[in-house]
Order: sequence, then C-alpha cells, then structure tokens
Amino acid sequence: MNGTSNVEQSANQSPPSPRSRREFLADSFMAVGVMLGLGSLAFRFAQYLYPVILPERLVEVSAGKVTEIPAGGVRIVNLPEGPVILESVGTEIRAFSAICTHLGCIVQYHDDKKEFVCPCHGGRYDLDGKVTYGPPPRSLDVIDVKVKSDEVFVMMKTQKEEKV
Amino acid sequence: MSRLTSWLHERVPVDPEELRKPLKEPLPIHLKQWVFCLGGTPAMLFAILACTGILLTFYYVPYPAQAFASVTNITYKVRMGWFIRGIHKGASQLMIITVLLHMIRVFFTRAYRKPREFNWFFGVGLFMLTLTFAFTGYSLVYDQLSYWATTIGTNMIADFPVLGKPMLYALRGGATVNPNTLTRFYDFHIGVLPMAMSLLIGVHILMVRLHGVAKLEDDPRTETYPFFPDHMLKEVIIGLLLLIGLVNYVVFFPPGIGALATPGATPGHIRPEWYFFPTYRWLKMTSIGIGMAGTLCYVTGLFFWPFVDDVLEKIAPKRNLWLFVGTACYMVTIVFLLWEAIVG
Repeated sequence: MNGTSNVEQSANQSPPSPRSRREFLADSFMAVGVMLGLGSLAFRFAQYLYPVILPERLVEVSAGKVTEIPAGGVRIVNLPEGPVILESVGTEIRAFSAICTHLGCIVQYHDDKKEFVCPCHGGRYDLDGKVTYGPPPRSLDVIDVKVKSDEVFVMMKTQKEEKV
Repeated sequence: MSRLTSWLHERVPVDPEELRKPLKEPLPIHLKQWVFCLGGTPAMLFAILACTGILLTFYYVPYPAQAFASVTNITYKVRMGWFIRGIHKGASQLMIITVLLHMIRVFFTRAYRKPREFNWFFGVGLFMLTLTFAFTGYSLVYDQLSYWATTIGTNMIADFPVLGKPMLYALRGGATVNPNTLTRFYDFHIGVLPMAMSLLIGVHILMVRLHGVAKLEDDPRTETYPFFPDHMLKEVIIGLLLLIGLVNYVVFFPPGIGALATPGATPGHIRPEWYFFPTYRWLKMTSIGIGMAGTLCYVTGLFFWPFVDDVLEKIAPKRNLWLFVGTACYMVTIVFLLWEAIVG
C-alpha cells in the first residue's frame, strides 16, 4: 500500500464519535472494580507475608550465681532472651544489654582498657555503658537486676509466647 | 521453502526474515573497540549464575539448623560441589565488577543523556539488584559473616522514618533474625530477584535496540558494522575468556566456609564482602542517621544522574562540571573502598 492511498483512506474515514456518558460511566465502574479487586488481593498477600509480632513483655531470667562474676570485673552471659553484661561494682551487681545500640552486633569486653567494643563498626562504651567513641547513637540499655539468695536475676524483654 | 520449513511456518507463522532483522542491526564503528563490549558480560555472567544457582539448590537446605551443614556438604562432600559453588561465588563477584565497569564506561561517554535517561534508570536498577543478589546470596551460607551481615543489614532498615520497623519485620519475618529470615532471603535470592533481573535485563536490551547504540560525542565517523557475525563473535570471545578465567580462579582459589553462625557472639574483626566496603567505612565514620541519609542521597544521585548532568550543564555550560562531580564521587568511593581494605 503506498502513501497516497493511506491519505485517501484516512480522508474517507469519519472522525471517531465521542464516547457516550453511559459508556464512560461503565468504563469507570469497571476500572474502579478492577482496582478494588486487585488492591484487596494485594492487601491479603501483604497480610500473609507480614509476620505476627507478639507484644514485648518483661520476664525474670536467671543469669547465674553472683560468685560467677569476678569481683570488680565483668561477665557476659548469653541468655535465650539476649546477651547480658553483668558487672560487679563493690557490693552491687549492674547489668546492661550486650547488644550494640548502633546496628545490633554484640559487644566484647576488653579487660586491658576496661571498655566494651563493638566488632562491627568500632563503637566503644565505658563500664557505665556510655558511648566513648564511634557511631552508636546512645548508651547500652540498662537492665534491672535482682539478687535472690546468691542467684542473679535479670529482667529481660521477650516476645516469646508465655508458657501455660 | 523446504517442506519442513513450510510445515513449521504453517504452525509458527513468523517470518524468518523478521527474526533475522535484530541480528543485522548496524552498530557504530566505535563498538569494535573492546572497552565498548562490556555490556554483554553481566548478562553472560547472569546466565552462568542461574545455571550454577539451580544446581546448588539441589543440595542446599534453607533452614538455620541445616543451611550451614548443607553448604559444607556441597563444598566438601558432593562430587564437584566445590567447583559449582566456586563458579557461582566467583561469577557473582565478577558480575559486580563488570556491571561497575560497564556503568563507568557509560558514565564517561555520557551515553545516558537524552533520550536514553530511562535506560540509565534500568541500568542503576540492575546494579542495585546485583548487590541485593550478592547480599542475599552470602546470607544463605549461614556462617558468622552471613548471620551478622543479615543482622546489620536488616537493622539498617529499621532506621528509616515511619516505615522502618514494619519493613524490618516484613523482611525478617519476625522481630529478630529467625528461621523465617533465612527462608525469605532464599525466596528472594532464587525467585523474586531472578525474575526482576530477567525482566530488567530484557527491558534494558530492548531500550538499547529501540534507541540504537549511543554514538560517541565528538566522533565524526558514520561507518557501521553488523551485529552478526562481527560483534556477536567478539561477545563470544569475551564469554569464553570469562569462563576460562572463572574456572582457573576456582581451581586455584576453591571456596571455603567460615565458622557456623552463633547468634550469641559476634566474632572480632567482622566485615562484609569488598563491594560493601565503601558503605561500611561510611557507616563507621558517621552516626546512623547521617550514614543512612548519605547513602540514600548517593543512590538517589546515581539514579537521577542524567538529570543532575543536565542541571550541571545549565549552571556552567561547557565547563564539564558533570566530569568533575562524577569523578569526585568515583574517587571518594574508591578511597573508602581502599581505606577499608587496607586499614580495616
């Protein structure tokens, strides 16, 4: 087919008739219906993928005997609820979360410098849990401690379901 | 038309001449230089990664209790398992290098400019997908590096304003890194990402075909040469050289495996793979807010670079500001990478 016949053909064609209001409404309802249908399906898919997050609660967990913490020293204990730093200061026992407040790695205790160091991004904390160097945004989280007949109990946050 | 051809044509009514057309596409003469043939290499490596990846799934178990043991099994017990895993690992590293080299070539020849801005977006998208592939890939090994890289990487998401926590939970499949996290990363690595990557590679190539290969600025030559067989042969040679290089690399440096992931103890001197060194160094130097904001700005700037280039051109015409800004960004990235690699 050559160019001239194309021009002739388009000249013979009548201009497209405007859509009637009825057609426009029908198309609009159809579009809204399809969007609602697909949207609700996508929402269900998202619900399926989103995990059930149980509310956080505090539990009292044994962290060992007082005698296991060196006098004037530090012990890091790995509990199922998370790692805990136990410090013996005079007659007092203090506890901090051993999780670095920057991006969640576990700090290590350097006895020679009396500091906690995060091996991931080099954050450092003193024995009071305060940031002394690096990117951590805040001090180590303080954990409540109770000593009951030579046993240390710490109040840990957990999201595990309660045993009945 | 032979009887067989006409029988086939009756059932698949496609004109063979139409199929041959893309092969005959004329290419600008500068593509005869090897440096301009880098674009095909990531696609070839992706094919190698897909094949070796499928083979690895025959033995890999995506559950924390068995993941590490199954990778150990692949590496040390399965016949040629070390070789398949080595090729997969080596090809993934090489893919990052080749994507970067291709991007640098496109950048310095300004091939991203009007009307090819969209293809730069797709290219940056492919680069991001390649990095996500690498990150989810080494998270599957379930050694110490895997576990802590997953912990750090997902914790970074939590710092996004408003949507941070929901995104973190959705990605981890729970509040902490747990068995669901590994399954999700596995699903992403073998399902979602390959689909997205195949789609984007297809669109990227289609866009190159629709626009034609970008001509070099200030190159007066108008000669062309055909894609097939001349350019195709060059790509085949590159593919073969890649394979030879990869096989030799794996033979001389077979893949190993670190210590089993221990959620209760972060090992000393842990750091990610080399391609995350610049981000890692940046995060060490800054607070988390500035670190994340800086990384986001960098990625956004990279993504919208064709428009940044236009703005720079308007600010100072003929001053080549794009070259100064772009080179400065590349230099900072390389300095951060080397700094982390050497100083640690």
